[in-house]
Amino acid sequence: MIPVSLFVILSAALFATGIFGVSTKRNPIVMLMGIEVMLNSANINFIAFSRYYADGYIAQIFAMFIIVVAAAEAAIGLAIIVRLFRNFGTVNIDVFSRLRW
Amino acid sequence: MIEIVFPEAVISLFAFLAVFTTVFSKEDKDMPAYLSLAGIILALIYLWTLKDVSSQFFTFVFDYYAWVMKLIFLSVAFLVVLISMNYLRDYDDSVGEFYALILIATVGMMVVVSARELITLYVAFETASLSSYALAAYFRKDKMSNEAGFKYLFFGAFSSGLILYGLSLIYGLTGTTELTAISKILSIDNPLVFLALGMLIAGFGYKISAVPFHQWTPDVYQGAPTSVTAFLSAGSKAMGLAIFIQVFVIGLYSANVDWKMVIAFVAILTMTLGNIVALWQQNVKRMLAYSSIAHAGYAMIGLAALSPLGVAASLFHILTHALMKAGAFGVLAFTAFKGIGETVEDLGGLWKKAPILALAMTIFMFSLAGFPPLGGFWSKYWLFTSAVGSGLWLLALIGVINSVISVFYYARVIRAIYVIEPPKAVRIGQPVELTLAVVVCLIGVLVIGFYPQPFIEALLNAVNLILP
Amino acid sequence: MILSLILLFLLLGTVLPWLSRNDRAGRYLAIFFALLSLAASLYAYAIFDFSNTGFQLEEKAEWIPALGISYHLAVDGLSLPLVILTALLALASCIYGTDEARRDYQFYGLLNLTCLGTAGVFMALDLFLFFVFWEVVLIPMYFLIAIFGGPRKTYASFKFIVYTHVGSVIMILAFFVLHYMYLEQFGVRTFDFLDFAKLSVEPKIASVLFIALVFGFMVKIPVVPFHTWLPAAHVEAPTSGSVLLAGILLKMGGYGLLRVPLTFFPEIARDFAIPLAIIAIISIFYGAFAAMAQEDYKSLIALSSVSHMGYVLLGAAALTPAALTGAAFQMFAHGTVSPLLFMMAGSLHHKAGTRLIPQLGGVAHKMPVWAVFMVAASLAGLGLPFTSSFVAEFTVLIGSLEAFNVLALFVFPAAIATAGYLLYALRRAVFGPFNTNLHIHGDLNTQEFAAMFILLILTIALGVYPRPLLDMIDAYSVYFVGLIGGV
Repeated sequence: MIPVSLFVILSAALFATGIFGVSTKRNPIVMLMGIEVMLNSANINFIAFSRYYADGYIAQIFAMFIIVVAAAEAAIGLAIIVRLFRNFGTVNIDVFSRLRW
Repeated sequence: MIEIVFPEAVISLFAFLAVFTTVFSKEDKDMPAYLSLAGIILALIYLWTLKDVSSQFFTFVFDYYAWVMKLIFLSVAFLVVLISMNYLRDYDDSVGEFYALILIATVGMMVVVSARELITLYVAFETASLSSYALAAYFRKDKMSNEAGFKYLFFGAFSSGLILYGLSLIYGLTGTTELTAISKILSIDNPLVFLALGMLIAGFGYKISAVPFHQWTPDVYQGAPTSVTAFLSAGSKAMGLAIFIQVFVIGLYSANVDWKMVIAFVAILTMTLGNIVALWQQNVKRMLAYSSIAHAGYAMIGLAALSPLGVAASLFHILTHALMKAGAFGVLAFTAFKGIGETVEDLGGLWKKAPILALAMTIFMFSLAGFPPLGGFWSKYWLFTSAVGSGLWLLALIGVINSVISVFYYARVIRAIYVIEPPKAVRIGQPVELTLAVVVCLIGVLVIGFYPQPFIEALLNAVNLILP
Repeated sequence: MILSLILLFLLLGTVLPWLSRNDRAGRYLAIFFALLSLAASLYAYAIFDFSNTGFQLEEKAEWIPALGISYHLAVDGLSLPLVILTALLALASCIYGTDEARRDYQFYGLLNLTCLGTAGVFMALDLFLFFVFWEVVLIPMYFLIAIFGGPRKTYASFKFIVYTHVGSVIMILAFFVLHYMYLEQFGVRTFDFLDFAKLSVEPKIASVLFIALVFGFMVKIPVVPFHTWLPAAHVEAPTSGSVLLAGILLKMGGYGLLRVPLTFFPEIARDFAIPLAIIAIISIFYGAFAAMAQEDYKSLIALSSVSHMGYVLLGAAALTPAALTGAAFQMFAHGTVSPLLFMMAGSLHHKAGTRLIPQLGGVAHKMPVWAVFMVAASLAGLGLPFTSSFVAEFTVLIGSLEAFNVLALFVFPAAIATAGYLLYALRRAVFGPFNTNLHIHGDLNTQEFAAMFILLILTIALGVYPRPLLDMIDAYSVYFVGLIGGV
């Protein structure tokens, strides 16, 4: 059996990738993707851990909920990005400085 | 049993109804608002009958703590709907979704305080957060509102990512999602605990806008529609603290990890930065956003003290802060939609334009600054004494110094309202619903101020119930 | 009930003018209720039992039992004169009226609200209630300066609120320390003054608390070097605001000093007697000599207040029966003389358009009635026999000679300086040849005359026959000194 530590390392790497994506990219869609990657790294953790506990199905349920919430988050995020594009004519976040960051 | 979820069910139903009205008429701005008010009142009445109930429906726990907090959230929703009614009447698109989103967010908050288990907690607070993102961006053609929604969404989603990762680690370490079980199993042996706690503190820190995770707050508060700002400041902030209390106080109470000092340190940073930056602000919405940051810092004092009194003081602070900020942003909503503006100078001569709202705003400012005997004074009093009671002298002292500093920017608002006399100030009609909401907040602040005893006792009872 | 009644009348005198939203009605309502509160306070004087040395007319009700806070009012020989003074000045300042007709109804309400807070401070025996009233005073006075003040009102009101707020925060912290020490020693939560007096406190902690409390009150008295807010506030405040500021707000500091730290920590007060006396003498000197250099009549009077209030601190430091009586008497005396002088300066400003002494000269030619009042007030200010200030300052000196011997003699040069600046100002501004550049519009009007007359009569009456007041204060000070262990 693959040791759980490998999964944790994988998820940590994914999580770091997500954070990197969110904090360095200037395109909101890519940032949104970064956030999705972060959420999915947590999913990997949950699924990996679920095998090591007797009532591990709870973790799988958790993962399902995370997927649902992530979808909703992406929907709202994309809707807002569409509005931004309509109003500003661009989606580069450097333009959105009406309010100081 | 199942009756404990009825308040949430009622609110959800009316949220649906509020959207449904837009099918028939997009022009009718009042119908969804009245429906929402009706739903909230029904839920409040039903909730009142559940006062002494202590029960469980699957993972949904109902106890005195949940009861008290739900009462707070429902009242906030009620006030925000009232404020929004006037604010949105001139909006050029349908508003049914707006009220529906407020109700859904309220449901999320109400479920949060009934959650003693991580999955429920997560789904509930995401329900509230996602609705709030949409609310912040609700004015579709307003660039500021778009930008506020965008920033709120990104910081919020990012913090959820952090929280989730932290939760997944905690699950990995304990094998359970029950908060009380976690507190029994979790121990300091594993270094991953620190990583998990760090992520949770950072993630929840974003939600309650603790320094250094506060950057989104002023932008979002300033850009969002003002009644939404009231909701964020009074409701979402309260929810963030409630989660903080549930996860850290219930879940990690006996975890042998000294997270108290971290919280104390963050509290000091938060209140100091909030108060000092607020000194320079010209836009009152932004100033109050920084004041919200500072008040999050005060509230964290009680969590750092981690005594029953401290946690009760934090909850008490949630209550008074909700009333003060809902009222203050209500007044700002008035000035915004009447075209008066929202900078400090714009408020000049408000006493002449709208005497009742001006007086209310003044009292909210005094209360926020902590003048006795108003609500804000008592919450600070209990927070600081709880810190002293837990031996955190320095924390209390810095809190006191901060509240002295804060007098200056609140005094600027008061000064503008009463002292400045613009040459052409004329009386402006004070809209009924909004004034009603502000007056309710005002009465709340005064009643809590002059007679705080029953409130702190109720909250102490609630806290003694949830503390292990 | 009579004490609550005084507060109730002042509250009605605040709220009803505001609700009336009418300048004329507001003025009459304010005067009417100030008069009622004065009547009530005189009634309290009438039923006051002079043979009883403790607190009288007590009223007590639970307020916040969880913290042991109660609504506890009472008066004794120290506080009742000040309560009467407060009601009197409420009336006098309302009669005197505004400097300019603008937002009058708000103005009168604020005057009565200030008096409400001050009267509450003098009556409250629960220290939390005391603090609440203390803060209540701050707010209307801030608005009086900030709305109705002179050209630099923003600066002055801001400075006022900063200084006094810092002082009061330190004070409340000390109260909370006492509260927790009581909780530890007796297991009961309380803020009651009478309970705190029973505390036994370690000398080290006691001196810290003593310094904190004395600091809190010294800012309000004010004592050099914490006095700088006072001239700024006085110069910019409207006349009636100055009247209340000098007449009763400063007395809150003096009263608090006599009432709180001296009662709780008399031994510590003895240890600190010499430093306090030195600060007092510096204040007396500094105020007198700084006043000499002033050109603005109002800031001259403001600095003379610093000098006169120095006597209160001196008397408090000496802690002998005579000195305490003198200090308490001085508070009352200064509470009538100084408002009178401020009214004179205010009327001068109305009529002549300026208060700057070099621009004046020979005002007596055009404003004879004013000049008579001015001379009388100045003579009362410099402590001429047969005025109340003389009785007060003389008693303080006698008392402090007992305690400090030679040190107290240093006050005499300052007394001469006081005579100097008041008379010199009189000579330059009021007498001499008429300055033809000056345009003076008439003499005192009826309302000004009435307000001044009340105060002047009282000053002279108490100078000639101080017994009614002295008896009351003596009862307090003799008893108090006996209580804290003799001379």
